[in-house]
Amino acid sequence: MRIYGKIDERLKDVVRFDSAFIEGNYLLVVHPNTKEWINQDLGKKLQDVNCRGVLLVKGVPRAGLTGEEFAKLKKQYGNRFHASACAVGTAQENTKLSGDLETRFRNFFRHARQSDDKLDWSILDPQWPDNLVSAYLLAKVMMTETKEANLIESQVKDWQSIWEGAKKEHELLTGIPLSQDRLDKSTAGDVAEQIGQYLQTVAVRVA
Amino acid sequence: MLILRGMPCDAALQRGLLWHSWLKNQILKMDAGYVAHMHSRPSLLEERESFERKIQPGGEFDSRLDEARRFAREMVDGFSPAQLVDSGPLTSLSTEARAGLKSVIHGEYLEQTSIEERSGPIAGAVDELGKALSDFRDVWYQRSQAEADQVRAGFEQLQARARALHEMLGNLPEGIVLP
Repeated sequence: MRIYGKIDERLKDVVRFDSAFIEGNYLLVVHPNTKEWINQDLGKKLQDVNCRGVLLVKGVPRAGLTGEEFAKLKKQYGNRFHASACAVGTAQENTKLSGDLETRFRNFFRHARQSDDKLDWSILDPQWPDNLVSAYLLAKVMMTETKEANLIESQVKDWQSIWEGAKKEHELLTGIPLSQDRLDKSTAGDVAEQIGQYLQTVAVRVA
Repeated sequence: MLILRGMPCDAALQRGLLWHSWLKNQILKMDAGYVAHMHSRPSLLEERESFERKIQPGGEFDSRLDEARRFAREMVDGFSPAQLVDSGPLTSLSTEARAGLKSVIHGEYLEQTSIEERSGPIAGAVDELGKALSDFRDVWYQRSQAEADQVRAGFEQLQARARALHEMLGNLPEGIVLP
């Protein structure tokens, strides 16, 4: 599909917008300057059946929409609407496109070019590997010399499914199994390091 | 320390709105000379009315100041990984284990970010900005008496306070922090 942009230069390294309007399906990328645009113009744009998606991109996460507003618009417009979960600033801002986020935007626009109908927003904003993040937190606590570490280690039945899920997620996402088969105080350091390395490569930034 | 960019986080959203949509786009990007020009030119009535809706008592800027004060109060918990414990897979843990987990990871987060030390100065910067807005309003609404230079200087003062707060907010995390 074609890709049109009503946005400044912040995406210039990852997409070249089409200039002349040609009949057929398209994706519209917009930097909404006001909430009024979202309230009034978004619906009008989506009335065009050839418009297969409107993507909002701004220098604030989710284009400044609250979680509730975002969910409401998703419900109203379905899969043809999306707002980038991450802020994307201009070249002068520290939120300018870089690293993994830049790759995801590039891959998403490549996918949009090749698609004729549906858009897969998960390329842009992948689902968080919840079990991996949870296992990372459990491991970090078990690394400490605290009574909480002992308590959590002792309640393994309550988090065993999280650990099993984390192992699957890690292998699925990296192609490599975690080197530890179990999580306890003796393995927690290794586990946290391996998961931390993976998290650094995805939607996480090292500060 | 890792920052989860893109994971839903109300504090990150609020920080972004204040930092980008308000301070940068509505104050810092404005030209003080143009603001002074707008004050006295009848031909710019529409722009002036729009600007006054922002700066007037109870207007948009006062609302943003209230939001910024609330943000300063809530930001420490807002970026904490402790919030991940009460949603998602970790809800399967016992109440006692969840409380323990939150306590330890929140403690490490505080230690690694020194974020508690930053909330006070941010609250102070918000108050300074509020005072600068109040001073600027005094100048602005002396409509006939105020000289263009006074309006310009008043707005530049407002921008200086806004810049200080903008810089502080810019140094905060963009998402939930993992220790």
